[in-house]
Amino acid sequence: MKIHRMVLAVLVLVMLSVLLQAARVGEPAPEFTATDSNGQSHALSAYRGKFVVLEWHNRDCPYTHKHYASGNMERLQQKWTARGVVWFTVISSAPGKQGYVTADEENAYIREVHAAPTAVLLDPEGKLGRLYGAKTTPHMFVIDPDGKLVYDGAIDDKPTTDVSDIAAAHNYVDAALTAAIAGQPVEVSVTRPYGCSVKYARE
Amino acid sequence: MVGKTRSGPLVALALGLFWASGAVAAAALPPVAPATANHTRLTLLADSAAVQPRRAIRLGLLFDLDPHWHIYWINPGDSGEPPGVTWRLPTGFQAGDLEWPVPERLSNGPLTDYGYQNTVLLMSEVRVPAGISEPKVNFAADVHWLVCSDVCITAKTSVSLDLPVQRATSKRESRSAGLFRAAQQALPRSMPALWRVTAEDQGSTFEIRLRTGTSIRNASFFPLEFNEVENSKPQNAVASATGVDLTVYKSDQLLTPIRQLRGVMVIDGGRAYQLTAAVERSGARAD
Repeated sequence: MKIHRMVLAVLVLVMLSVLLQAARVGEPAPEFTATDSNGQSHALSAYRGKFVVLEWHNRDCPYTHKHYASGNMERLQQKWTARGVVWFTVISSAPGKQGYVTADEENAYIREVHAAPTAVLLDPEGKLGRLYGAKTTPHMFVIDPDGKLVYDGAIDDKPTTDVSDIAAAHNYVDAALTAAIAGQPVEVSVTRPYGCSVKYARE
Repeated sequence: MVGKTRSGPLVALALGLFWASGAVAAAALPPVAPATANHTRLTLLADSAAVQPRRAIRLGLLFDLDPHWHIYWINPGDSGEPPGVTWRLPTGFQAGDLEWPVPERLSNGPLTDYGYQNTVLLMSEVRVPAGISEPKVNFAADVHWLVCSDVCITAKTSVSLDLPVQRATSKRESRSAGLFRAAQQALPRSMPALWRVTAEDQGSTFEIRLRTGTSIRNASFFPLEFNEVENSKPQNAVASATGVDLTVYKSDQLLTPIRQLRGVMVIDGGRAYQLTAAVERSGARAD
C-alpha cells in the first residue's frame, strides 16, 4: 500500500516535470490546443507532417511594429505559407494590457496590413505563451513535421526598432525554414529573442 | 536574495546633494538643461569642471526616469534592450565602454528583466590627448534607449556639454563630482586576487562556489550572457565557512555545455563583484 503510494507520487512528479518542461530545441514541441480569431480550434498535433511557425505578436510594441510597418513579417508569412508552412501568430497580451485585441479587431488588422498567417491564436490567459516560454514580441519558434522544435529565438540578428536595420539583417526564421525544408540541420537553432516583454496576465 | 540594487538610493542621495549644491553654485556655472524624451530626462555630465591635457575625465549620462518606468542593464534579461551611445568627441579624445552599475531585478509575470528605475548614471572614462589647441571643448552623445513600464517606448536624443581647457595642474571637480563618486561606488568591482570561484554543472543547475575567506550569507547572481541562467527562477544561497554556494537554474535555452559563467555577484552588504567562474562537470553524481 505504502509502496503503491510512493510509486504514484513519483509518477505524478515525473508527469508534472514533463508538463512543466518548457519548449526546448531538439525535443518535442509542447502540444497545445488554441482558438483563433475566427473561432476555429487548432491542435498542434493536427499539423504533423507540416512545418509550423509560432510568432508572438503585439501590434503596439515598437519591435513588432518594425517588422510589420516595413512589410518584413507579412512577406515572410506569404513566402512560407505559400510553401505549405503553417504560420500561427500568437497574441498573449492579457485584457487591459498593451497588444490585447478582440477577435474582430485582430481580423480587421490582418486585412489592413495584409498579414498572411495561417491563423492568429488568441491567448489572453497566456497559457500558450507560458507553455512555450515566450518572452518577447516578436519571439519565434519553428516546429518540424515530426513535431520537434528546431528553432527558438529572435526573428533576426538586429535587435533594434529601426526599420532601416532590416535590409542588412540575417533572418534566423527564414534561414531555419530554408535549411530544415531542404533536409539540412538548422545552423543557428537558439538565439536570444528580442523585443518588448510579452504582456502576460498577472499570476 | 539581494534583489534591490544599492545604486538607486545612493545615486538619488547624491542627486539631491547635486541639486542642493547646484543651487548655490548655479551662478558660477552654465546650467545644463536635460534633454527630455519619453518619460526620461537625460543629461550629459562630467566629473571635472575643466579639461586638462592628458588627464582622463569621466563623462556620465544621467537618466532621470518618471516613476514606474525603467531602462535596461547591459544584459536586459528576458526582454528589453540596453541603452546605446555614439560619442562625438573632439579629435584625440577617446571614450571607453559604458560602465554599468548593479541592476535591479524587474519581475513581470513569468519574466524577469534587469534594469534601473528612478535615476542612474552610466559613465564612461574618456582619454584626453596631450595637445588641445582650443580654449574649450565640446562633448556630444547620440543616445538611444528603450524605456518601459507596462509598455515599451523607444527614445533617442542628443546631449552635449562644453568644458573649458585648463593648463593648471590641480584637478577641478565639477559640481556633479559627488554623483560620479556615488555611481562609482555602485559599480561592480574586480574580484580580489585571493578569492576563488567555480561553477559546478549539476544538470539543471549551476552551483557557484565563491570562496573569500569569510562566511557569506546572502548572494545574488546577475548573468552577463543571455540564455545561460533562467532569469526568473529563484537562486538559493548557502553560507559556507569561507564563502557561499549559490545555486542558479540553467536556462532552458542552454543546449551545449559552457566553459565559463560570467556575471555580477552581489554579496552581504550590497558589495558587487565581477566574476568569471570556470564551469566544472559534476562529479560521479547519479542525478
